[in-house]
Amino acid sequence: MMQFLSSYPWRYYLKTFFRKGRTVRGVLLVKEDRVSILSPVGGKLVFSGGLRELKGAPSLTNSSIAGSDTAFRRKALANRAVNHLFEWIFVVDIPEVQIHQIDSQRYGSTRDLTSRRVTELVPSVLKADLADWELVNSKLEPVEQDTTPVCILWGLPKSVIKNLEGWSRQLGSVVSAILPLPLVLLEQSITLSPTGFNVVLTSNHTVIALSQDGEIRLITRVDPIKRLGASQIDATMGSFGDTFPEIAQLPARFISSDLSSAELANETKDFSVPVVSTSPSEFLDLEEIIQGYRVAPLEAFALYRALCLVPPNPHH
Amino acid sequence: MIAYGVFTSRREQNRQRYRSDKFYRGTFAILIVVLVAQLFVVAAAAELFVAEKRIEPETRAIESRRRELASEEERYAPLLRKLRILTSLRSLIVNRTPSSRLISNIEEGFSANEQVGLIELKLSNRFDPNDPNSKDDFTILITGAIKAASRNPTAVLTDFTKTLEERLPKGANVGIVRNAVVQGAEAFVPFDLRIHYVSK
Repeated sequence: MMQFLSSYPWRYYLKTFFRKGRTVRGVLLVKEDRVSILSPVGGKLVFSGGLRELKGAPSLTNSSIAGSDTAFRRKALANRAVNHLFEWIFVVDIPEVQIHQIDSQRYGSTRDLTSRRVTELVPSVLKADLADWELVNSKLEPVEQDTTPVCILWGLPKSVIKNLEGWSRQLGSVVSAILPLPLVLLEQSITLSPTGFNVVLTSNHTVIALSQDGEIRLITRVDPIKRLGASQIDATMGSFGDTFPEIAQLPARFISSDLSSAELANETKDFSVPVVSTSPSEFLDLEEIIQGYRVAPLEAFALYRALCLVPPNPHH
Repeated sequence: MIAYGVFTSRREQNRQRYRSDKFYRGTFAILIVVLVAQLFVVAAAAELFVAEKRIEPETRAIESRRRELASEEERYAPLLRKLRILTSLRSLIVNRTPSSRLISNIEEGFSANEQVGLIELKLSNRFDPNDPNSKDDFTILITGAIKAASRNPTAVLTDFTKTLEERLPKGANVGIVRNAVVQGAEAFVPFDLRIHYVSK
């Protein structure tokens, strides 16, 4: 009760006693080396990057203080109407994100994803009790909606969730969802190429998925391309191609929010399969939708996709 | 689309549940109503306090006067008791026929009959002073004499009795105790009358 009263937005309701409040949503990309934001400013989505160095910016490794006198609050959140009606969608990229393919027959009817259940499903899983787990179907939708033969288990460290929620709470706002960056990029890639290889490259992961008509048939996570090397990724794709040879003939789509189009083309030049590098030019209406996207077009669009991925608050 | 609240903790999901604008606005409205009600109560209490302060000297004076009147009432209690008794007897006193009036009426009767003389008149009253409902109950015994030389004394006494009945207040009962009968050569023939009157 005291917590409720202490966090009650008195000032807001005194100001808006006679008018209805409006929920605003914003997306924050939080990486070890980068923090970016996409949220409405004056009715238009505005993207801002390079916010990590600002004091009070959210952090994955420790709970930073997002007080009203911090540089992040003053500079990054100015005019973004961050109040108790604001909903955050965090997109994170950390090495501890876990991705596992699950056979839905093994998953069974139980919907409670305890660490014990996760260990049963994936015996090789690491630190199951230190992570929160979510299961999506092969269309990257909630498994409760449609249980497809292939399901994908995502794991995110509890400490990261705690840090981000704590940061949001300091601003009095709500967390709508926390999405791993590979999930957002994969969804984006599959939207562009529903059939074929979709390879997501981030600073911490390489996710290789083989999809058919927008549904994932095979998926795996390996180390980032800079660490693993293109040849290892090419080999993994080759083994996938043996299982689904007819799909593997199509060009593989590569997507990355970290690498520029030129860097991406350079990294993928030696692959044995034809490669399509996702470029900002594929998002024709980007300029109309997002202001300031030129700083990092793919990152800005990834945040926009994350915004579209999370449905509205069902409790409102 | 993925599920709302994906990778959020149970605590955050609970927050999402109640942190709706409708909930907050409802709570705010209730708090405002409570606050305004309290302000009204405080204002009313302050007004009462001021009013009490304002009428305090008056209250004190009235209280002092009340005590004074109580002591006076105590002092005059016997008198009041008497007054109450007198008030209850008022109608009796006002409507009372005094004995002097009865005697005066009897005297008038004697004056109207020259042949009849008065020898003795005895008046008694059975009024009980201890009974507030008691009434005058007069009994008058008259001893008189009639001149024997005149006409028949019995007829004279009968006339005298009628005269008395006319003179006395209504309800008076006049009775002959001893008739005027000539018994010898006396010049006067004695007689006795009894008059009974109860006041109404």
